[in-house]
Amino acid sequence: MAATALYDRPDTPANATVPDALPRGVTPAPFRLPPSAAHLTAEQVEELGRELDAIREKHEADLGEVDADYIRRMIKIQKGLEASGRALLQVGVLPPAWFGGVAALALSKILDNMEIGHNVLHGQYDWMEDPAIHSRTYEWDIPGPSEQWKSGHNVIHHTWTNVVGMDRDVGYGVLRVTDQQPWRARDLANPITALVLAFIFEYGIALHGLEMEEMLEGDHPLEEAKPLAAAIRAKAGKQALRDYVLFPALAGPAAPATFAGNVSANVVRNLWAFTVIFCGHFPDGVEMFTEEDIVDETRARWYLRQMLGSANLTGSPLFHLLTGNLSHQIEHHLFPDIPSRRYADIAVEVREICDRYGIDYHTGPIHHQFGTVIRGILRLSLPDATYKRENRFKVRKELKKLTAPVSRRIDELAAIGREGRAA
Amino acid sequence: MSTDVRPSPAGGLRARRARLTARVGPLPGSVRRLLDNRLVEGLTTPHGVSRYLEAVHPLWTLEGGRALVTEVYRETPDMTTITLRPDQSWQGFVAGQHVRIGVQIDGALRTRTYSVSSSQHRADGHLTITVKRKEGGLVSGHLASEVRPGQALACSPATGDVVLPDPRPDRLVLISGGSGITPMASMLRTLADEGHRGRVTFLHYARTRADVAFAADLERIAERMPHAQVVIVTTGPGERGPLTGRFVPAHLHNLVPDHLEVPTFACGPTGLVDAVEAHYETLGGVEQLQVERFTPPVLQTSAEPGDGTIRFATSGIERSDDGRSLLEQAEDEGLAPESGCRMGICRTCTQHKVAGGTVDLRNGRRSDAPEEQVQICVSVAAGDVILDL
Repeated sequence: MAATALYDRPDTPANATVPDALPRGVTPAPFRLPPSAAHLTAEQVEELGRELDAIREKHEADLGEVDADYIRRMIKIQKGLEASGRALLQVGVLPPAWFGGVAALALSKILDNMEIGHNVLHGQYDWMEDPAIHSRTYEWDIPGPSEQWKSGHNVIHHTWTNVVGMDRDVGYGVLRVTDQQPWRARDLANPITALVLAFIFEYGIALHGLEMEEMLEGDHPLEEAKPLAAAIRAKAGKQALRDYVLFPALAGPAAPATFAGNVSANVVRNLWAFTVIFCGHFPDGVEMFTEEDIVDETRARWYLRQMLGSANLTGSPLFHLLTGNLSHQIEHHLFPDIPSRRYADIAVEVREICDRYGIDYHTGPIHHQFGTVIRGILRLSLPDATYKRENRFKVRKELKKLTAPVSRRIDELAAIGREGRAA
Repeated sequence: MSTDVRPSPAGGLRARRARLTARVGPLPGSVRRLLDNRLVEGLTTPHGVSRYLEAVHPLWTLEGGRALVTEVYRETPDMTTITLRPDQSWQGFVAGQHVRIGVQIDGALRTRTYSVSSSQHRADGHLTITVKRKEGGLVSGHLASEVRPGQALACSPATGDVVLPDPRPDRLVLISGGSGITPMASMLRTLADEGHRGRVTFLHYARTRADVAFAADLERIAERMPHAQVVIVTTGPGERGPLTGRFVPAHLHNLVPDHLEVPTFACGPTGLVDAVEAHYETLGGVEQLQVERFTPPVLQTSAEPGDGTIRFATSGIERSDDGRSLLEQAEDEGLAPESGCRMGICRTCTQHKVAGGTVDLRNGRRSDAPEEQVQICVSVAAGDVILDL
């Protein structure tokens, strides 16, 4: 990482800081800082980076038996839940068995995807050198192949977090989640798209790896996507065969109940994962960045971007476990490969640092955070103009453009009518 | 001196579970065949049936590659024999071969190679390894003092070419030193079980007699065999006996005057093996000699990046280290290892380091142990390093 480039740049770009907030005689950082960090100097940002590095080192040096036992216990619990959930759903014609089965299977899938799969695939347990718990070999209970997910998530999302135009997780290419994304007519469907995505989230994640957006815009040749699509088809096919054909078939006459139970467990997992994951980067107050913001970015500035670009959720230890510790999204983005069971402790230290440096630490209970996400999705479905006075003119134009085909059609129909009457 | 190491104090849930585990064997072949089909595979995708079975018993996997510790026996203060019950993947071994044993230490799986020390004709199908505790040795120290019956270890199939010849030669000379006794013990025990009637001369070098694992056992075996002789040569100061001191050709001339015409195996520390080899080379009997060195050639480790060599083992490329990241240097050589963020967060670039030293640039932490994974985008060489690339 080029850590020195900062200081000898002669042409200081326009800084978004509030100059009044800086003490007299202090030079503002020669790069844009988000408003909540605007009072920091370049040196302070580097110091903050060193403090975070120290936290990372402390926890890395401490990895051991406790972490290994933790993930093994999680895997055992998940296998137990899955086995009992599937067993109960085999006799799913009995309502208590059906509800118990759905709960156990949904919990198993939530654990598998969120506390085990996501974290293992981040390499949090690679140091154990156990092939069954290694990011190179682990495969999770989700239609997308882990190999594709790793490159899209670990590389692109975690490196270019919240940089609009680079982080493909900003709206996942289908949603408008920040006003830095220019409004397009299709964003009117934002609420419906989000609702549909919530139900089929597992497939959304799988297709995300195909870069369909880029393909439609011609940036990404179709040929490259073919093998990826084949891999998705193969894995998604196996998953569907298991949940929707084999297990129901084994249940004999109870097949419909088993089928419905498996669908329900997958949907419960989808809704939960969607909720938690959308609370990570899209609630109110979370910062988005532009490509200029990351020119010559140092490790310290990367840390700062991760902190201000993520939001936590408050809750009990069980709640944190069920979110796969993504409720500690800030800590996860700072240290994506440190075992997630450590995030709660790390959060105390990170929060203290944020307080000391006077920068925002986004957190709140899930109902509040998710509320702001929903509000944002609704609001951003409309052009900026509807909530920004100066854009009112543009709205009218856009609306006209949108309705033009319809009104044209109406005119045509009216014309046909007139001709009919005349004849 | 010898003690049997039992599971930690009787009672205790863990100990009781360990004893129960130790009594249960691998899955019977019939059950395995029942489970190894496409329906079960489809039902247990993506994890596979083994991940569910192993939650019940550590040996119950279809792919195998594990062994259960059934007994731990302290041979000498620093040598411990571990009896292993391998799973179905075990294809047996030939005396002289070794296995790779993996054990979880402080959460991480560590793998080392050990010779099998038991007879290849053991009736119960178990095998033993005999581990010498090395000064500061992470794995040997752990195996010697922490491993308990009921624990599962990773255990590879047996490999190695320095093995008892088949058909058995009429005459045989075995020379070992230190922990080099283990493959020789396996050979002698195997021959004894076969009722071998040929002449076998086993010469073992140790500091004192008390340092020799299974000395009494081997001597008893030799007594039962018609023409076998076990000679323990003590090398420590003030030791007395028929033969003392480090290896000199005279030892062999005394015991087996025509040893240059007899198949000979030498195994142990580099010093001993080098001396034996030099002797056979000088007098022209080297085609009879097979050796195995128990101390691998030492790689230079260095505090400063930039003065060692980097070897990419798979592609057979070697280059002198220029101090930049291992990833950049691999790319310079035209290799294209996978990489992603190039800042150490995504772990796409993780590669297997066979041996040598590396330093993680982010925190200055060194990795010196063999067989470790390193993130090559943020690692530089510290001295010589061998990568599986």
